[in-house]
Amino acid sequence: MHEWIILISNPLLCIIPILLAVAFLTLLERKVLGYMQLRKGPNVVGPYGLLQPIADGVKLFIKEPVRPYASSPILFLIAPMLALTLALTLWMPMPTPYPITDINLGILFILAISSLAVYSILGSGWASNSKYALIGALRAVAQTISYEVSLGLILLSTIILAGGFTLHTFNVAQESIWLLAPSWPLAAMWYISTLAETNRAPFDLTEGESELVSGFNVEYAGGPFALFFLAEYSNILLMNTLSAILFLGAFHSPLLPEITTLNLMTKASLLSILFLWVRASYPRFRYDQLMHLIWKNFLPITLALVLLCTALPLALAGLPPQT
Amino acid sequence: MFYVEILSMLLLVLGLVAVASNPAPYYAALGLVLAAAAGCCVLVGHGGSFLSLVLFMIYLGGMLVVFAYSAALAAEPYPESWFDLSVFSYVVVYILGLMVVGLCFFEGWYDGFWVVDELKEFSLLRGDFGGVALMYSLGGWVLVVCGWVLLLTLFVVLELTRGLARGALRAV
Repeated sequence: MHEWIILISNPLLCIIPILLAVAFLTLLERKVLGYMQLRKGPNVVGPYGLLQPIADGVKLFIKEPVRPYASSPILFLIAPMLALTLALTLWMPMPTPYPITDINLGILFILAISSLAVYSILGSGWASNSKYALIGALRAVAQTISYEVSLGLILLSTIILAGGFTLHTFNVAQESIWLLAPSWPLAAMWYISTLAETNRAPFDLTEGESELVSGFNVEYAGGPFALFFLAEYSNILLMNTLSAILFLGAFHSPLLPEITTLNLMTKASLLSILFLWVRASYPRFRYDQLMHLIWKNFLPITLALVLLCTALPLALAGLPPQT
Repeated sequence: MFYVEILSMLLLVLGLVAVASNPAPYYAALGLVLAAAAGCCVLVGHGGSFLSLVLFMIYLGGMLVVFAYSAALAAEPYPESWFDLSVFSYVVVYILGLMVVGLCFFEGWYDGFWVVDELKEFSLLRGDFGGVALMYSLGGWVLVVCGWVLLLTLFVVLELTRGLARGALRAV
């Protein structure tokens, strides 16, 4: 009985704060965008509109989930579930500072699961059996896997600098200096690639309202749409937490692990607010510009930087300790 | 853990049955993803976590391109799923065949418990990490040959798809 309670309560204690954070991220986004455009944003439900995300959630889950006649029914329902499940699974190896599952290949695990997450987009777009959804899904997939290439290469250079695939290693490696300082070009490209990877503005071509009527999830309404929405925002928070771990490492003292959590999540939320600022400020990219940016700018630079990050520690006899 | 192993082996076989039985390219690709995931779980269970994660990433990336390609090109609006009679009969036949083969080889195929990571006990090095280094040191020439083959493949693909009129593959 005891083990069963642990098996249920541990994941729940991870999932519930994530979902709460996601809910308030949506509120924050609407508020920040509102004030940047000289209006107030949601301010009717609760004090300062604080209860707005709850009202939104209740509304979405009460709504009738539309099941289009032409769709492929089982896949149509599995795709959003897969999206949210993967988005929540991605949080399991996150060292904040003690992860739920302590994997020694944490970064590879995150990469593998996030590349699996693309399947839910393609699945939903195809299962809707609608041309808008399919084209939106194909565009989303092309964009996401292109940027995954540069994300992987950037990760590889940081892994070489830090000395291991374990996410704890990054905390230890950055005790004297943040990786942001020696490898700021990597960090800048990483941040832009995460913007594109999570389909955020200015790279939100998959959901471009005017041209694609919100892309791969046109046919979704109610509960399944809410699952997609939660997955997307949870991925945004996850990517920012990962950026904070990789480049802005949080000092970990075993006596006061709370300080690490506070430190890390403050940095992650500042990065998320930067996401919102970017959304408010920049116009959307054209599709060929998007592909140009990744294949002709980021890819050559990251390849060169991988070589540099391999050669420099070897040449200067500064290899990190191999564990 | 042992039950998870058995479950993932079962899923591996079922995924391959799904690939073999379904005529629609889309569902077949989906089955292949399932088979890949289950196969990697089997590898993890036997101690090859690095190998399986790298395989999973590369395989999924490659499969995704095939997947997107088949989703874009598959013309049927209502492809047959596994619950249609024509496909389901194939599934039943394949599973029956698998059971017969399984009964024939029931004894003795699972004697030695295969382990990927052989340096388990008191070693600083993990077996599958060390294997990567071995690939470059002892297997250097094989690696060169593999790279050469990949280059050749690139040229073959380029030659197949070159131009509209001259290449072997034509879109129209």
